[in-house]
Amino acid sequence: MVETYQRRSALAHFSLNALANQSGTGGGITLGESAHRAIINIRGDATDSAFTAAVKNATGCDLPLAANTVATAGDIRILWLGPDEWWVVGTDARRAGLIDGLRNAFAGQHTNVTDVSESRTIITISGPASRDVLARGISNDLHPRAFGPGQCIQTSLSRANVLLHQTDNAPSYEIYVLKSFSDYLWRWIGLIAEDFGMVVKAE
Amino acid sequence: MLAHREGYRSVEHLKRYTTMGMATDQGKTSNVNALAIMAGLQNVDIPSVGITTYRPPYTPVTFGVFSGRDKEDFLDPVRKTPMHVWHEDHAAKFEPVGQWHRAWYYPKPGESMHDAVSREVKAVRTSVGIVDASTLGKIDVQGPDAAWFLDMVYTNAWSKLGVGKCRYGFMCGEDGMVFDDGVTSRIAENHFHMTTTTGGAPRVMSWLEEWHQCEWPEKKVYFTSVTEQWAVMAIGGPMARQLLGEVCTDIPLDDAAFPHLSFKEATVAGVPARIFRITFTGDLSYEINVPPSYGLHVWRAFMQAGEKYGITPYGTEALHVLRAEKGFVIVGQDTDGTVTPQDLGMDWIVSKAKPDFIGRRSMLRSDTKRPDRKHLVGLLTEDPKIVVPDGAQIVEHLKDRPPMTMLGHVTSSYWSPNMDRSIAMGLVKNGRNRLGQTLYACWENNRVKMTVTEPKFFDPEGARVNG
Repeated sequence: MVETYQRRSALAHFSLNALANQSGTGGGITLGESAHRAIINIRGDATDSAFTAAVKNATGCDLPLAANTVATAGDIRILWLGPDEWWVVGTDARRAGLIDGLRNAFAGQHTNVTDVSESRTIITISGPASRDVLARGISNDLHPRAFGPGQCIQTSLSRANVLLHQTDNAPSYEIYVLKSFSDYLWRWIGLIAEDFGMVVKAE
Repeated sequence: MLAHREGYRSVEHLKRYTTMGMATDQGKTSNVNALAIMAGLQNVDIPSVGITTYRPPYTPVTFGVFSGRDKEDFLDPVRKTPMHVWHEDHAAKFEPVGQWHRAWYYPKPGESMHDAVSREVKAVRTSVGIVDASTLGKIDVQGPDAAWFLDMVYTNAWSKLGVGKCRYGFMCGEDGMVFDDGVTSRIAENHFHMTTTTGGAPRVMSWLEEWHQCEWPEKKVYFTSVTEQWAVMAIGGPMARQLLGEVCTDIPLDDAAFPHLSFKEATVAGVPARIFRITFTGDLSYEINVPPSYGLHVWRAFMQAGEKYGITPYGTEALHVLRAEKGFVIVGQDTDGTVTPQDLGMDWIVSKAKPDFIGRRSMLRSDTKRPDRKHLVGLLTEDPKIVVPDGAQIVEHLKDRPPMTMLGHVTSSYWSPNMDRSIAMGLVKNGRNRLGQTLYACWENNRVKMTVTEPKFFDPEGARVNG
């Protein structure tokens, strides 16, 4: 097997560790990349208890049935994408196990398991001004009365399609973006974040 | 003045008649002039004409507010492949394909585009070339009705395609006209890996979902876009197998074990890969699919191992020349939404046995069946040095000046380094029944004599896929 140092994140060419060293402390925004996460696309019938039970069995996590919500159990998250579509998200180390586990649990059902881990990277943005940065490129209302931790939404951020997930009240967000758009999106967020004082987090 | 003549003399009437004083500046530019003209016509001084009511925004809104940061290289996102940085480091010129920037050609110091493309094209035919094909659309198709569904959306037959095999297919609209093409492979009994054109990927995905959701919701099949789940590089040329054998040692690569139009899972440069033995250049060729995070590593491994063979990275321009030498079509270049598979001379790709597929009924119409439609043919200039431009009009009987009766146009035209002459394809009325006939390509003041041929120029018997 290949040496892991040969593995590159989508934003590797920006040398985030070097940027992190140069960053001062204390800004309104902390930006980073959470690379190489397991993202497994699953499809199935949410009204079929055999399906929901199989998901729970394979992941230990409940399947979120409410639109645009995220269920969490330990290091596993399940993000609602549509009435019959979800992402099971976990650490890279759990990727193969999750795929096998889900396929086994679904045996005999008309469901679907597709690994899309490598198609996206995740840009993390955290800090009091995060909402202001996102508001410059997103048409959805991110005010706490409308959007909070445990919610996710598929939308466009500036000119890139993203899935946005709020993880806490800092507020912190995870932005799932196709790797081909990540160079553009990182530079766009960086440009806006400069107005608020920005710190880059090491990988 | 018209407003004044028709009695719209109050400033508020003037505003509604002319729309001056409206919009984003609320009249700060246009209205002043209008009020002055009205004052002149009424023979009073300007202040006594009055001003219109301002509504927000009171101050002009600059274009900058509307454009925001969407300017210069933020005007539109540039999509980059996992190997993009390598192409940049090796002086590639890039070509926009949709939002993607693809390596177009890699000029060496002092080389013109023509020199670079000719060098790249020759290298593929004589040794081995490598091209970044990551942008090709990829759709994962799974479910017990997956094969049934492919039978409906493609014109050819898929049900009997063996596991581990690949097949080229056309998708047509309900009008029977070609709208996308690609190679789809059977990963397992109920699991296919579909590829689409780079630009057509979202359209094909929507097309599949539309037919599934609206027409055949009872069919058990799911589609997932996996375009970016894989970094893809194609290595092609007589030395391709030998090169692959140096970085992939866990499977046999001989023809019997790994024939043309089949796929294998294997390890390439230490990375788990799907290898498809398919070709867009006509040469012995493998498309290596690896996780994008290892795309650059695997690309570099090929460059390193391929050095002794003179491995040559090539761009989209060389790719287009290579495929044109073979007469392979590009949907959207050699087709324009009015072209059937039969018009392309590819009757073999339309199943006669399948009870139905999208576009079948339209192919039975008298107009789509008539033998004198525009056909894709080869067009060879009498003077082999002349490369006519794409889009040149094809005419049978020259006149001193236009209008002349147009038979069609040139769709693809290149200098072919391997034929050492120009080659072209075009859509020509009744073209297949004109083989050997002399026609003229016309553009601006140029008139060039061309002979109609089969649209195959290099390796017409197709021997080169075997290396």
